[in-house]
Amino acid sequence: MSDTIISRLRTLPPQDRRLVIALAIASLLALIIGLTGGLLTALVRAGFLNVLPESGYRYLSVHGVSAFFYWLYFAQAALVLGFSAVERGNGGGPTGLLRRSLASLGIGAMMLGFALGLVATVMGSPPLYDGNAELLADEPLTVLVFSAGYVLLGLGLMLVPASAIATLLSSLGRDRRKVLDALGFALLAWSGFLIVTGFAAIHAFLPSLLWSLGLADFPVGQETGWHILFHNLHYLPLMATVLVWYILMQALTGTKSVFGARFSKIVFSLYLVFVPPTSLYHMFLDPGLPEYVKVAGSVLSLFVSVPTLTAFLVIIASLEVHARAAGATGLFGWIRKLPWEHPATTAASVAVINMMLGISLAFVLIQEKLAPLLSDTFFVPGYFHFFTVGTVSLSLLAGLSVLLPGLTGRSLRMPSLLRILPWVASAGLLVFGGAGVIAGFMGVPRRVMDVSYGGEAPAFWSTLMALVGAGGGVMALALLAYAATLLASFVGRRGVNENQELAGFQWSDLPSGSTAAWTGPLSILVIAAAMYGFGAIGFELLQAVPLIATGTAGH
Amino acid sequence: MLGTVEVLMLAERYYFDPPALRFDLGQPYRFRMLAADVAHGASIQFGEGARMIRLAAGTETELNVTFTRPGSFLVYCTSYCGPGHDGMQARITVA
Ligand code: HEM
Repeated sequence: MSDTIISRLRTLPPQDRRLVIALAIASLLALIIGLTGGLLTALVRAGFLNVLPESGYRYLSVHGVSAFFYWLYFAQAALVLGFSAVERGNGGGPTGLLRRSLASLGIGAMMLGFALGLVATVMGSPPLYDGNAELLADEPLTVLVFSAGYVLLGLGLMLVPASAIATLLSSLGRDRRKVLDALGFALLAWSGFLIVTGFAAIHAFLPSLLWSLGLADFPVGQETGWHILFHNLHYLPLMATVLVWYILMQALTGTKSVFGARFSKIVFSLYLVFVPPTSLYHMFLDPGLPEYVKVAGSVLSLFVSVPTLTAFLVIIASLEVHARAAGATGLFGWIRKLPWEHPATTAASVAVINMMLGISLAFVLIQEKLAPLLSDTFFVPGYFHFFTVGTVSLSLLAGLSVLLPGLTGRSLRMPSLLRILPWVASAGLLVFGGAGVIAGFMGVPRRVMDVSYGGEAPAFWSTLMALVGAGGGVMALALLAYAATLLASFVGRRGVNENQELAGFQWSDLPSGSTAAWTGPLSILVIAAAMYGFGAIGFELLQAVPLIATGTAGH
Repeated sequence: MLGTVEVLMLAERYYFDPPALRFDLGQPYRFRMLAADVAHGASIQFGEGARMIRLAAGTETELNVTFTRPGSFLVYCTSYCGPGHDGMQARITVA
């Protein structure tokens, strides 16, 4: 058998398999708990579930903590660790983790952190997912448990990738390769970004932990620490998504970038260049931010989509060129040639479509002039679920569905169901996100459970929230079914369906020559047109607000 | 028409003071707003859209405002401030 990612997965030592499987199971459990919280929140906001707002905020806390933090980071840790252990054996040499004890310790810390995070959501006032100490100043015990959870998560996010880095670097040496190839480099950059995020989590929550223990003053600077962490949390999952697409491209088709390894490495490094300076737009509504900073922030934010879109172009063009070399014809005929038998292909492709929508909508929010219209409204969760659910979660699930059969020696259960669910989830997302974005344009606030305001708010607000509830219900059920099916694939008869694993073909040996690839550039044109359209609607609405307002200045 | 009229508004868990305000069309006002305890929002809803306003805790925020259409508008807190956040609202009438 040839040397591929999938074939090397089978050679991983049992201890390593157990660690990665533990992380994967934890990620799916966190997803299931998080989705349940999201579903309940959506039902409360829609008025379909009649509970006190406080219960709604508790559901929202469970949702944010479990889905946005633990699902995304358990899954990333599983993927980074699993694929790094495999990458070590690239080009000969043994597979397997180095510094395994660091990984075990890190996984333990993350699991304990998760348990504490969940306990904190039910013990006092709902902390939401940011555990703002200002709001919990009377409840040091809640702050203690909540902050300890994130500090442990941060610790885990430093230890687990440290093992991945040690593993990747050990594949370099005198008798082995001199430099990492694009995939190894990608895993290294991903691990580095995870460590930075882990550090940011500790930096943001250690002060409140120490305060709750009576060891330090009240953490007045928590908000700044949170901003730094939160900004990382925005973009790291996007980088992870792109890297998962890159891994899938190689694992499922054997395709390597037609632009060469060096170009891919530059693109992956761009995240480290573009992410830090783009944090400004989160603060556009903050009183006291000078005008020139706002303008600079708007301009810089435009660049944040550069690495994602470039990597997207590289992947699409490489697949298209190879598919054409394999005989595909017509403008989009190459798409039919993709390995559709594997459920990961559907999940990742649907993720690409959702990303195009998400990026177009994000462009509206980063306009400094539109921030006073849309920040803190339901526009924000309306658009970002195109990323968190539609792009990132579907891509991570695709990554897990490639990783798991190799690790467990068992085929995925119900692959035909898994091929449909991403479409169902995205249909729900379209209703949830579409109604949410319109609601945001109309002024419906985020983080408010009952938007009727005792009958004082426009009745249309409640109609839009009902649509959010209905769409949210569909996407939650589809993802719950996906997660449950992957979990079910851990048990049962051993034996792997080759078709599912390798999709039956390898494009690595095809001559790619100078075949033209148009789909990538065309997609970028579509994204640009959509950005323009959404932006224009925003500016129209801005004109419609019957108020001339200047200078939200703090003193 | 008077010059710019100052309007003082206090936001505190879970109410605005004053809870109801009357304004004249076309008259410039200077809102001076203070969140007394924790961060709040004091956003104004206008039918088609809203003007979102954030108030940092203990910091006075100023906003110069001229209303260009008559009507009755909802003022609502848009920065989660605790379990009673949903009920934090006021009303502006412009005539
Ligand atoms: C698929 C089913 C999902 C449903 C029905 C759902 C629903 C919701 C709803 C209704 C809100 C509340 C918005 C508000 O009141 O401000 C929300 C917020 C949020 N969701 Fe989801 N969501 C889902 C999946 C996800 C996933 C998978 C993630 C992350 C990976 C995610 C991340 C978030 C975040 C970060 C927030 C903001 C929390 C906050 O403002 O405190 N959601 N979601």
